[in-house]
Amino acid sequence: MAYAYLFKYIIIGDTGVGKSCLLLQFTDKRFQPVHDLTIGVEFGARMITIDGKQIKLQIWDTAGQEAFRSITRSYYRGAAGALLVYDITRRETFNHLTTWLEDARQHSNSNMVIMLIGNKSDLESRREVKKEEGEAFAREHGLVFMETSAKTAANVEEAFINTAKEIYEKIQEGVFDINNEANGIKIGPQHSTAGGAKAGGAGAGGAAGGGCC
Amino acid sequence: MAFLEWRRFTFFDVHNNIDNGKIAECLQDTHVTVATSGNNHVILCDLTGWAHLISRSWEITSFKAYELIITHAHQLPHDTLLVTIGEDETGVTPLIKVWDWSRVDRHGNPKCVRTSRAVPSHMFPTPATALAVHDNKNLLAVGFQDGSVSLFRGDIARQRGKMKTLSDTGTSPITGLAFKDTDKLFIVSRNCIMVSYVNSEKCVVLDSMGAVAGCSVLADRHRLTVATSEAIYCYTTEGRGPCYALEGEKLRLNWFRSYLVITTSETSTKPSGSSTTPKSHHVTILDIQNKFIVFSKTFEEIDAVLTEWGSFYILTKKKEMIYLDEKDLQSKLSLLFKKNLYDVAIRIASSQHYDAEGLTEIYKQYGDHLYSKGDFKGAIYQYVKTIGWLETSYIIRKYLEPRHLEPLIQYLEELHKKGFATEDHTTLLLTCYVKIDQHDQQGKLKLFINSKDKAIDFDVDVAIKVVRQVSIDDALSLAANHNRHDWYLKMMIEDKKEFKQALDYIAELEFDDADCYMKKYGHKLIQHEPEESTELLKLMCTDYKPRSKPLVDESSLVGRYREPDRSTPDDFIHMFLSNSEKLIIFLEHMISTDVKCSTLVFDALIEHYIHVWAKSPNSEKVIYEQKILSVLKEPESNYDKDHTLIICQMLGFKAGILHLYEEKKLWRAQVSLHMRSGEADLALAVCRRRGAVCPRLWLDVLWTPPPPRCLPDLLHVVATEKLMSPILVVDCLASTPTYTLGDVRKYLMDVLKSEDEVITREQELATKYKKEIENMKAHIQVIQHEPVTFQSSRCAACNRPLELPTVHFLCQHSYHQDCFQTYSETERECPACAAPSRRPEALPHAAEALHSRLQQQHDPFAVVSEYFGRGLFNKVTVVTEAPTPSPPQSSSVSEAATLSYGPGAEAKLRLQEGQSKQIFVSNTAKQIPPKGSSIVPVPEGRMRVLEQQKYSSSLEAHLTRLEPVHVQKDRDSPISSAISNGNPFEEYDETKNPFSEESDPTNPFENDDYDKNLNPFAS
Ligand SMILES: Nc1nc2c(ncn2[C@@H]2O[C@H](COP(=O)(O)OP(=O)(O)O)[C@@H](O)[C@H]2O)c(=O)[nH]1
Ligand SMILES: [Mg+2]
Repeated sequence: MAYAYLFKYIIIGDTGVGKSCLLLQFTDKRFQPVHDLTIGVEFGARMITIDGKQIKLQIWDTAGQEAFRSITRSYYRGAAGALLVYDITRRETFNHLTTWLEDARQHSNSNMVIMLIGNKSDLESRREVKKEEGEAFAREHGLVFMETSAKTAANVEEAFINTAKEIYEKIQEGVFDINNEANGIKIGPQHSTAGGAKAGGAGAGGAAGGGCC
Repeated sequence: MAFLEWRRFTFFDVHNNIDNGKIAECLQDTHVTVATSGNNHVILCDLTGWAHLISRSWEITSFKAYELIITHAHQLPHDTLLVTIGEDETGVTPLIKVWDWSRVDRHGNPKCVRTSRAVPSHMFPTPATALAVHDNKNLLAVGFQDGSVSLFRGDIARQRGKMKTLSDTGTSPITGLAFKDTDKLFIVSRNCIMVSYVNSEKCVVLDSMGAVAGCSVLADRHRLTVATSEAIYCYTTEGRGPCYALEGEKLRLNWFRSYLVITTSETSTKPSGSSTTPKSHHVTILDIQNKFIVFSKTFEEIDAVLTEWGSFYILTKKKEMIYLDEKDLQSKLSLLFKKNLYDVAIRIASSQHYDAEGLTEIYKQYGDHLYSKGDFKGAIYQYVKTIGWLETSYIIRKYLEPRHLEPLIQYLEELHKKGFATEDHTTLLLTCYVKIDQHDQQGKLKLFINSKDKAIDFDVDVAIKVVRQVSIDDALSLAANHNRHDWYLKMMIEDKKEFKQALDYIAELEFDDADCYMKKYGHKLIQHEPEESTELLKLMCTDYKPRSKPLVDESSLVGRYREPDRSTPDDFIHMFLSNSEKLIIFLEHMISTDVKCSTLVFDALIEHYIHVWAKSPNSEKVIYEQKILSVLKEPESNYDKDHTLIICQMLGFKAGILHLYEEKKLWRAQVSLHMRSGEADLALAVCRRRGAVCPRLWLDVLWTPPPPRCLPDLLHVVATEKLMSPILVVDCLASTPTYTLGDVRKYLMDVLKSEDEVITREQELATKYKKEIENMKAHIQVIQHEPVTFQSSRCAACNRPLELPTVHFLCQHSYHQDCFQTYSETERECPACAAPSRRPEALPHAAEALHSRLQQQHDPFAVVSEYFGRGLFNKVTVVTEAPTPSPPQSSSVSEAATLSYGPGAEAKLRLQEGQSKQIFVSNTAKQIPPKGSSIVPVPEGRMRVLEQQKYSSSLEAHLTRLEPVHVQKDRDSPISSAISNGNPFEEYDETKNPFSEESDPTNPFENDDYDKNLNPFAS
């Protein structure tokens, strides 16, 4: 399907916080309670519409274990957006946020939009991290914050779409160089710009980072 | 091995030494350098330049392919072509050879169809490190130690073909090549992964890490899978895709079906053991799709992994062939079942396109397993998947306990959604809803009922039936939501007895429905809600619109005329039963509208009016009487008079009866009614009104008999009209004993007196005539026998003194001869006497009289028949005898008087009675203006004339139409024959003939075969 832009996202955070479930909920609109652990990096895609434009989101779901960090890191490069996820019922996942954030900032481009997500908001009774804490962390690090539930689908769409909106705005502001695919943004086939020749030259082979299945 | 969490199974059985040592025997102590397979054969190449072609039955054909060594080989999967790279001489560029082992050369070896240098002659020779052949036999790529890649195009089995070196492929040794389609080539070198676009010669770097030889493979024909020491990465021509973390030094990657076979070297697994421990290799088979490890085992050092004959074969360094036999699905599943890994079983079964029935069985087992573990909700989740295959009762029975309500509901809902629900299921589901609602007030039933969009497919009628037993209100909203009007109304009326609401509901419906249901339930509604029902009916029978609709709808706005929907009131009349008041209101409304109403409507209205009239107290009777009469008198009222009359008679509604009698001209009945009710005055009034037309009325009164006070009037009329002979009158009166002589004295006196007068007058006349006769006789005597003296001195004509010559007449008139000749018409008559005695000129000739009458009257036939009846056509002369016109009144009356008493009088009266159009002779004096007629007083004839005149007006219409038909058509009719005897129409004027051809241009008989010569009327 033709798209105007392709945005590349990564989802990061401790294992078991619900990254894969969020992705499945967003791409397939379903929740699978028994979910296999992510071994390495998986992938999903979905089309959304922003400002009347078709935007394809290409989302890389990473394994959270420390052991896979070296593998997953190689996927950070060329991501336009990142969902940094913690589990509101497990404080240690919140505590690890700083490490994740540093890692992400270090291995991805500086313009990457990062959305902080407190997942499993349906498990209110087992909450260990207050919403305010999440908000405060986000404020402090200049992130957008949202609490979601992959189980009930609450805020899942919003999380992905708001991130996309932010990226889109940055494109409009000229913050992103859309012709540099290392930024995680690709112009769709039907969307020829002034820099079309250059983009075409690089795009003919589909540069590194723009994976597709 | 760091597959952290993927599940492990053993879906392969290991069969050692499947070749019975044949390969070891053949190869002996040399080493296998390369192995390939395809087209049902496995090819092993060894260090000494020998190639061994092995068939499935382990028959080995060996031939020397190269002098020194074979480094690479590729067997095409569906052809007998084998491509090899090897060396015939040291230090010389490697040679590509293509063998067609279906053909043999003269040594009996497979035929080498091509030999070419792998490196172009202008370049330095460098060892080949990778080989790829496209299945289409037209593309061949060779990678070299120095990082260059040569691409051959053209039929690989021929000597010719183009060869070129790809650009930008780097300088690190090429470790892997794979064609994707015919235009792309994946190139894997030690430190990078590229894709080369064959046609444009462009080379794009996909990743900046590489792989060792054997550790890249094209999976599923499109995905390049590359193994590094920490993970396995997937690439498409677009770039890097998912990756699977897997630590360990990879030796080899193979792909078969959806399995990825990874050979790793088992390093230092036994740190405690001696270093002399022989090296061992580990084989892991991944089911990439389902993310399982389906086989994992450590073997001795492995030389090759081959995928042929539908499975895997492992060739160990010791040249032992090990066969990995994949279990069939059934055993895989039972393996999984044993471990209760139903979800995995399901995943595998569906990925292998297991049939639905088989899957159902798995779901069922899974469900049963979860159920037995007490996970009822989880179990139902599986059972739901069996819908359509598994008998529903199996599951429902398990969940009949009250604590299982929720899963049962879930199952039943799914059943409905998938459309497998029967009536019983709906019933059960609703019952569950009801129960669960009782228990924790979830309002499920309401939710279900109010789901207008019918998220769950169910039989609404069944649902209503069930819900009706539980909660009428819910059933009602269910019916309303699904437009089950009939149910709704039925329940409203039968269960709730909310007739008003039922009515309101009907008023909201479209016309057809409203009409239908009003017919069905109107009876009950009227019974209980007469007021509203009547209002609704009024609306329905005039111009119905559903109440919710706007008064002015769109179509009428755009000017289209909408034929108003209306029911016929007839259908509803019977519903009112005895509720006459409401029916009257309804019907009054109906007849007041401009809609044409049927007889039934009027009949019913009148009938019920009369009923109400009969029931209402006297004070109100008048109102109804007026109403009834106004309907009866209204000319538009289309009621059945006979029916109404019967009703009136039954209920004694006299005003109506009288009116209807009047309408039907049943005056005698009117009279008798009055007489019966003793209202002689009214009876007489009728007589006075209608006596003229029907004199019999008077006699009816007389016969009744009337009270004495009426007698004088009555008898007066009887007398003056001569309705009955006095004898009969007396007879009649005598039968009533109450009458006294006083009552009739005047009558008798009058009668006698008038009789007396008649006698006297007649006698006087008789004497007078006798005297005249005597005189005449005497005169004749004188004239005949006595001499006559002519004494007159003057001329009777000119009145001058007579002078001779003179003419004298016996009548004592004398004339000058000249005068006489001038005046006289004949020689023999005295002009003076002749003039008056002569028939006056004015007296029309008989024929002319007839003629003019034919002209004036519209019934010429009647005139003719009248004449015929009078015998005029036989004896024409009779007419001349006409008497001098006398005052007609007296003569007519006297004639009539005589007539009434005549022997035929009684008969004539009878005749009059039998005719609805009463004609009475005695009336002629008043009714018929005297005509200076020449009619001879022949009683019969005259009767007819009178009758005729009476009839003429009413008969006019059709007779004018029939006019020309009669006489002409029946030329042989008695009339014409009678006429021809002595034609009275001799001087008939053709121009005045109503039958004349010229007179009427529209005469339908104009072109008839009418023969003038035969016309009796022709002059
Ligand atoms: N209740 C609840 N459970 C969730 C939610 N998201 C994920 N889980 C559960 O958390 C576990 C881990 O989820 P997963 O997506 O594999 O985590 P990942 O390692 O971050 O990919 C799974 O068992 C899910 O069922 C959520 O929003 N609500
Ligand atoms: Mg995951």
